[in-house]
Amino acid sequence: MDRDTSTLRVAIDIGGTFTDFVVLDAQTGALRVGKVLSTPHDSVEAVITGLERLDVDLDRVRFFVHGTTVGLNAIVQGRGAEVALVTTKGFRDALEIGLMEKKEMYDLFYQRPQPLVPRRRRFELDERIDGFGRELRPVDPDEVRRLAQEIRDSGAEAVAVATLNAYVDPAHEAMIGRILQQELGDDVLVSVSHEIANEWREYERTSTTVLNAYVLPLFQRYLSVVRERLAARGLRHEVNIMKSSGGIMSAAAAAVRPIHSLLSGPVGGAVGAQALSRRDDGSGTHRLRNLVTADMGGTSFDAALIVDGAIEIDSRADAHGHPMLVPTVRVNAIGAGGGSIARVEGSTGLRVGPESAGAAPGPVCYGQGGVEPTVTDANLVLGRLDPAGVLGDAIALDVEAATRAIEERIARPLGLTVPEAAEGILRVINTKMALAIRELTVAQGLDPADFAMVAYGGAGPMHAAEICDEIGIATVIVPPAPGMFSAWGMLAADVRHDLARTSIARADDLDPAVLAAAFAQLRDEGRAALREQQVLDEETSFVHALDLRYVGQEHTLAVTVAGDVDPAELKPLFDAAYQRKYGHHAAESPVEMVSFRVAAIGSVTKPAPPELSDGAPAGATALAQRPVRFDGRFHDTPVHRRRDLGRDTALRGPLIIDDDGSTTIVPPWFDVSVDATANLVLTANRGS
Amino acid sequence: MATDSHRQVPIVAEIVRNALVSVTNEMKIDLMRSSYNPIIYEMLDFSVGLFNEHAETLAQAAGLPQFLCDMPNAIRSILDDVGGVAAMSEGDVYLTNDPYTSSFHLNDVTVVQPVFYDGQVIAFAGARAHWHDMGGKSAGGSSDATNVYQEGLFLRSIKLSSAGVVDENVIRIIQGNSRLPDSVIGDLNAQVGSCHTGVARLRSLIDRHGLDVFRRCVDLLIAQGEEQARAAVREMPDGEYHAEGFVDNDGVDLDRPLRVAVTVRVRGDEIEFDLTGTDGPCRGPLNANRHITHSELSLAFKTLTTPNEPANAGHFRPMSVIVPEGCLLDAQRPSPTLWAFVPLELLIDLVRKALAPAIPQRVTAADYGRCAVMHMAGRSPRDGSFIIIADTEGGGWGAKPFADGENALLFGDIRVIPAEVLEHKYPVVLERFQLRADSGGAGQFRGGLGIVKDYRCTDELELLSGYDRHDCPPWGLFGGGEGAPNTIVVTRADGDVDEFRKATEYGLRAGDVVSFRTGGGGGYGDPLARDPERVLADVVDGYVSAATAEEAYGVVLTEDGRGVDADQTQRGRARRTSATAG
Repeated sequence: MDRDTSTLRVAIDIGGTFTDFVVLDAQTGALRVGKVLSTPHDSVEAVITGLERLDVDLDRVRFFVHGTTVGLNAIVQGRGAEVALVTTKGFRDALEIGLMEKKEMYDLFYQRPQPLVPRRRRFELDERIDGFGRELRPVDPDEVRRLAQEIRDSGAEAVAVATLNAYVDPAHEAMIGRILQQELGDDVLVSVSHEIANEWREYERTSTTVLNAYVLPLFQRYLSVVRERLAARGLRHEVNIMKSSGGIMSAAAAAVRPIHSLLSGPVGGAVGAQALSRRDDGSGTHRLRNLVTADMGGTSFDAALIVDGAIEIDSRADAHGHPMLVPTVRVNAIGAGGGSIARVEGSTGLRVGPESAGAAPGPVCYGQGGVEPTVTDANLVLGRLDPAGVLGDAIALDVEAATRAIEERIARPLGLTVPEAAEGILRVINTKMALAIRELTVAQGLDPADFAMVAYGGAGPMHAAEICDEIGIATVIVPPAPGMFSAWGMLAADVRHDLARTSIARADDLDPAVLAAAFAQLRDEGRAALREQQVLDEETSFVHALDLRYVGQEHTLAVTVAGDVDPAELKPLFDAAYQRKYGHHAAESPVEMVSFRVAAIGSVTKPAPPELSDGAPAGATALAQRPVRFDGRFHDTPVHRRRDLGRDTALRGPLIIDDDGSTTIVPPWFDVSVDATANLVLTANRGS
Repeated sequence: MATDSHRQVPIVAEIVRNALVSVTNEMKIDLMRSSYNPIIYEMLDFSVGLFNEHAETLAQAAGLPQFLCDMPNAIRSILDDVGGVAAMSEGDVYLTNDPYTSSFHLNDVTVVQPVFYDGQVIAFAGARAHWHDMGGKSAGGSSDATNVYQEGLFLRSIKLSSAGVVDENVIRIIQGNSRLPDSVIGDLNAQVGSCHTGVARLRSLIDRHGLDVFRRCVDLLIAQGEEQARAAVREMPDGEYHAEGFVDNDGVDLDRPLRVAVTVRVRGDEIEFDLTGTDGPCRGPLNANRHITHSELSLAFKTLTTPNEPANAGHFRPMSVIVPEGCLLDAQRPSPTLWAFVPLELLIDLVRKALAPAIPQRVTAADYGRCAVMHMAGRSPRDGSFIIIADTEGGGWGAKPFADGENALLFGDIRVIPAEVLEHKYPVVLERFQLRADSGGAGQFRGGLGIVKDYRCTDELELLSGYDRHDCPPWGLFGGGEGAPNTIVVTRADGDVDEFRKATEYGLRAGDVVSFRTGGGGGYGDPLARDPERVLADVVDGYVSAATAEEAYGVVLTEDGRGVDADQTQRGRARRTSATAG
């Protein structure tokens, strides 16, 4: 290829309300951001509008990535394909029986998630492989062909094949899939379980395969529209899709395994945080390997972990009640946001969230019909929000209405003053977010105090410092344009392909050659998958992991290992990992391997974060001053404009820092500085 | 950081409420993930919680909802035995499995650690888990035991650790009495770890807010729970409501059904459950102590009053319980208790049956019985070691006043063991694991379906089962029909067929197929009022047969089975309605 002069890198985060754009010119370092209203009926429309508004020359785009919720929306709204499921005789109900959990244990009217394939389209074949890979009954090709006709008659648009014990030996399943695809032709797409999720547990594997089939036709249509419309406007390079694992995949790869994109919504921010954690900024101010992300918007709060520079990823996740064996960034999401409603339950029970006033009617202070006080109303009453509206935001906020709502509905019933009640609302919601973070860290045996927080989303920077107080985190990083951080993060994502196999064996009789060969095979598959996505072998690296446990246990722990690990090392490695997580280990118990995993990673050229020039203004002059309540009393608090804060900023709270579309709150017991790449860095200056 | 003032109590109470739930979740994660025992790690048969110094529940994370209010009973019995909190020191850990003061059976072992603050006991952390094997005459337990001595090791109010030092004698006694010494000690360690976590987290919570404020918060939270529950009871019409039902038998005297009776008295914001009329004790292991009986009634009460609130002691203050002395549900030593939950699960359904006329929109029809429990003991196909398969099946749940009952569901955060895991670990091949057609009771809203799970044995296995709710099947409400009953069918390799519910040391050989069939839920409302299109959909999906559609629902299908014959259906239904009216 000729020297490619295209230098633009574009990331687009398509959310429920807004579609965010970040455009980086890799040559000049110039960064542009934009935001347009999403167009849920046709999400590409907003993409095109936004690109036009930012005047992006698609011909000059070298790298294009976007995150889409097309797949998840289809599941939530029940608009996916009519799927037929093919399985082993006697097991067509595995999908419906599931794990039989009753998740709301006291609720008589509990309703379990409905299977995505109705029973009439769940078909059985008389074949069987046992738990050790021995064939009990062969596949009868004629039976499969007859079934193909039935499937066609059923009106199915996609097929999922998941037979029992296919994780041990996929031969039957592969053959069934092949025959069905031949018989049904290209217009009915066949997903086969061992290709989608080659791990044991028939319900989870079946569910994963069904989910893939369910979103496949819709996703393919979506991708062809995106590619066509962008190509028509000059895009020459491949469109990439954000994956739930924090990696990206090409549109071509997504057209086969769309399931990997389902939970990519909150992932961009985690990837951005990972990029921050890995950055060598030379200044030593916050080169931190452990980060917790705090993404707070109007209705929800999402937290994820970066541990020692790596995003914490689970091998199993849940899509709207349906389990899937898909590597997914571990996100703890709770109903906490600016719109969270405060109520008094009974005579004395203060509750904040998870109900949200949402965008409509919104908080009381928006004057759009909201009557129940929200977190935003509390922020306003305490002086944390500017009644004239945040900079760049024309809506004036109705302090009086917010005060009245808090007075009548919270303060009076609880015998508190309005500021006390408002502060109480914030304490409750901050505690909830802090506990959400705590659950993430503690489940790993990690101490939140060893982390710094990256705060973004519309409301994250307002609450971050006080959330940190609750769990002993001392440092908060607020990136530039925190409302766009998820899109920015996507620019830093690598091409990623995850592979897994289940193979149960005791570590002490595991042949090193067998383990090495197993890893080598997964690496080969991973390399091939990346080549298809135009990743060169020299850009490809691998992360190896094993799911290990003590013999007799059920739950496993994923332990990252070297690709040539000696099985003799597994026992001490696992003991150490177990010790870290649970605080004890079983020195005398043998260790067993359950699954091995390889992540093939094709590194993408990372954008350098925009550097702040030394000549930036020091910005110690406040724009305004207003009383803001912290810790039970009002403080006279200076308000700064973020772009006035230069490289050598060193200020002490209380402070309010307004940015386009976001506000950062610096309580009196925090200092604030600005680092080389324009992040605000808040540091606690008292022990908590 | 400064601790909070009294003025802040209404706010801090909500913070404490959230934090307590979070602590118990942490305890649960600890216990679950470090356990060795499939009953805990797959089926989550456990419960953890925090309790105040009076052994009242502050917060609890269950596994098993049946243990909702029962751990306080265990703590009280330990306190009685050891001489109260005065006899306790920091770092002490106690354990108990006395089936006459709390819990179902000897396998339920509760570990309790007092929480010290400023030198005094201010709370308890507790973790209960089901241990696989407590010794006794048969592996995992016996359906035909006639006294507790046959059921295994009895550990009442045993001090496991003194001031942080574990008494190795206790460990050796336990190891010496179980067929699975590593498994039970693994579970014990997981429980102790879980309690340590609870203690540490509770202390740091108190550090944050101050002991005095913490105590006021806890009192306020309990008062709030009580207020919520009383408000819910007040909505129920005053009156006296009665229901009774039968357990099949006690596993020993096979032809003697056991009556369970409940009278519910609603007066203002108080409710009384009176079990007068319940049969006396039985010889077999279906006796339950009065404390766990009270706990199960608390569960029944909670589902009808405050189902969506994390529970604390306040939620149960409006209720009182009368258990006749010495009856089936007031087990006395040495009555056996392995299947104590069988009459208690029946009791829960009976409470809803009794209250149905009073609150028809808030109850469901009877469930499958929640008593489809089995163990199979044998040798591992992988290495020949001794293994126990312990599986509890879900079944159909009762129809709701506005929707069909749920299919194939367990009770709470517990899970069935996947076929692929079973086949890998145990000498079995699963022939089928599917929904049981026609098992849901007919009704305007149909009962949920049970399951059929067929194991073909590839080696010798010894079966223990406690199935029940066969002779008194899950009933419908307001004209709804009965669900199919639970049962077990063994088809021998030579073709002989045997059907039963309860078994002990039942020998299975390679080639035998044992089929576990769980019941369906009862229906709600007149089946003739069910929308014919929904009946058709059920037939197309195979939930209901065409024959049942016609017999039970009066719905006649077109010849191809794909449509409703509207004329025939209307005429048939009209005829039946007038016949009933006449």
